Amino acid sequence: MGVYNKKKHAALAYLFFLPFGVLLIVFKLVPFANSIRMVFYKWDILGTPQFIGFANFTRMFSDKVFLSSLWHTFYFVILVVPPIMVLSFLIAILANSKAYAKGFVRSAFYLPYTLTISVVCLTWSLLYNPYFGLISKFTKSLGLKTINWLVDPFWAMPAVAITTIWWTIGFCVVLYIAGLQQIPSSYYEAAELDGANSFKKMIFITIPLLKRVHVLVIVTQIIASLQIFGQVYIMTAGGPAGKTRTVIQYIYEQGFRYFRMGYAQSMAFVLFLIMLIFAYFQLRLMISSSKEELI
Amino acid sequence: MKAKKYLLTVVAIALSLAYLIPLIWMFLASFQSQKDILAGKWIPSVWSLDNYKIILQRAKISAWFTNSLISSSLATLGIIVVCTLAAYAVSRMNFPGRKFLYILSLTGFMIPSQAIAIPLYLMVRRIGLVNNLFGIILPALPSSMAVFILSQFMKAIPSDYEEAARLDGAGELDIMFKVILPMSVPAIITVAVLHFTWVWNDFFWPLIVMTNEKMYTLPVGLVALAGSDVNIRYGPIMAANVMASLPVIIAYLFMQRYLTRGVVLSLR
Repeated sequence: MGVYNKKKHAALAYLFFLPFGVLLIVFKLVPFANSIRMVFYKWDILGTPQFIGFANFTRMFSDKVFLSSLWHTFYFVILVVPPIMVLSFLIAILANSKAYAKGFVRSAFYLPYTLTISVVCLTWSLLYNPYFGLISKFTKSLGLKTINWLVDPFWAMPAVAITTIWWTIGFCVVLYIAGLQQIPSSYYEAAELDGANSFKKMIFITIPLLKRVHVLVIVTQIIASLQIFGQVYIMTAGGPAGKTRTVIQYIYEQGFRYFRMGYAQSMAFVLFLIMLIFAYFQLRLMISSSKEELI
Repeated sequence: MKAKKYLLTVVAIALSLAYLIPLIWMFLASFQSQKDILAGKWIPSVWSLDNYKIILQRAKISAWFTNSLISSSLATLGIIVVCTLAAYAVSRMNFPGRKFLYILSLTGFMIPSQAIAIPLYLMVRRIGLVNNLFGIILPALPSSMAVFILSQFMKAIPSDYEEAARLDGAGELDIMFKVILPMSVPAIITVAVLHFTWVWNDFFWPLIVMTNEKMYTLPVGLVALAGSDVNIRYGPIMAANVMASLPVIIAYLFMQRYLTRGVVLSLR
């Protein structure tokens, strides 16, 4: 390539990148810069923003509702992530087993994930209904006490978590299946020659070799669960008595019902910092392997 | 051995069907009268389309459906154009600052949409895009995930193809449009399916940016509808759920391969 061509080549490259670059700056980076600036202001939707230093943060950490919503968010993460990990692993084992109809099994467990959150939550709200819902009919048939799931202060959050697990498990199943398929069968054959049974093969080959997938599932599910909003907005509206109010639900209330934009953004910033830790791990995992391999 | 395989198949199918019970119930309930639902029936005593009629008459569901369809389609199309160009530049071209622009294009990963929702809303409001489909479309366009998937894929195409085309006298644009892009079609479809479902299913952002009932997207509209009237919450809402889900389920059955592949690609 001549000098002229090289210049032309570079100019073309910048031209190709330009639309993306401009949109990235306008709709991601500028709002991000503003999101940091806003935390130092009393910023109502009308009127002039007022600089107040760190007052939003001191207010936040003495705001009992915020602290409880932070705890509810962590509680939700704890309720969702371990079960989703174990269950999606087991389902993936089943969907990758020697059974027939594996395609059907995979589709069945992935299908809910393609549905919009509203469909999922509106349907489950009826399933949880204590008078005619399928779930209370089922518990009644087992002779258990009927629970008013979404109204009971103890059970509301587990109910939201169960719905979330049902909705999103397909994502993790797909990851585990992809990981399982990359384990060379020679490993199992060698173990069989040494007399290992299925249980031993699972403990000593499958689980350790999928280490990268375990980490991916944990990190992506923690990030997703920290952002929980739609499920509680639709199914419980943060109730009963604020027991399912999560951070984003509270941000939504403060920002878009009371229009306390600066205060709401400060809470969003704190959540962002928490998520950043996990996003960092995710990015490192993604960049570390540009190969086709998951394990 | 064979018997074991059959047993395993039966267990697998039984578990899969059990998993789909909420969806099966939703489908059956959409044909039931309120009386049937309240009685906890499975099979409708009379198969009736009344719930569908109620929804189609009373709600703006067709407007919401159109809003969702337009915003998801245009956003997907825009993402393909904008992100393919950027991915091509950072993965197949040599120029000063290439590495920097690649890292820059991935910064979106570190900025979750909720973290910038409030300043973004204030900006979208200022430029008059509240209650406008472009308020959903434009912020969706700079997708780091799309650039990541596409550039990883393009990077893996051996440069032999490019050099052979160059020897045949192909110009810069010929190489792009006749060599690299046609070979990247699987990745492009994966990105399209992934982003279409993301925009279609998004709830938080449309809830904020669409305040006029006519401009709701389907997910926001359904929730508003269910909250508007106690009587509509049972059969009619289940009918609306079925209508909202069928296109996605059908699309999924056809695009399954690309979607599941996209999940893996997006995290590899």
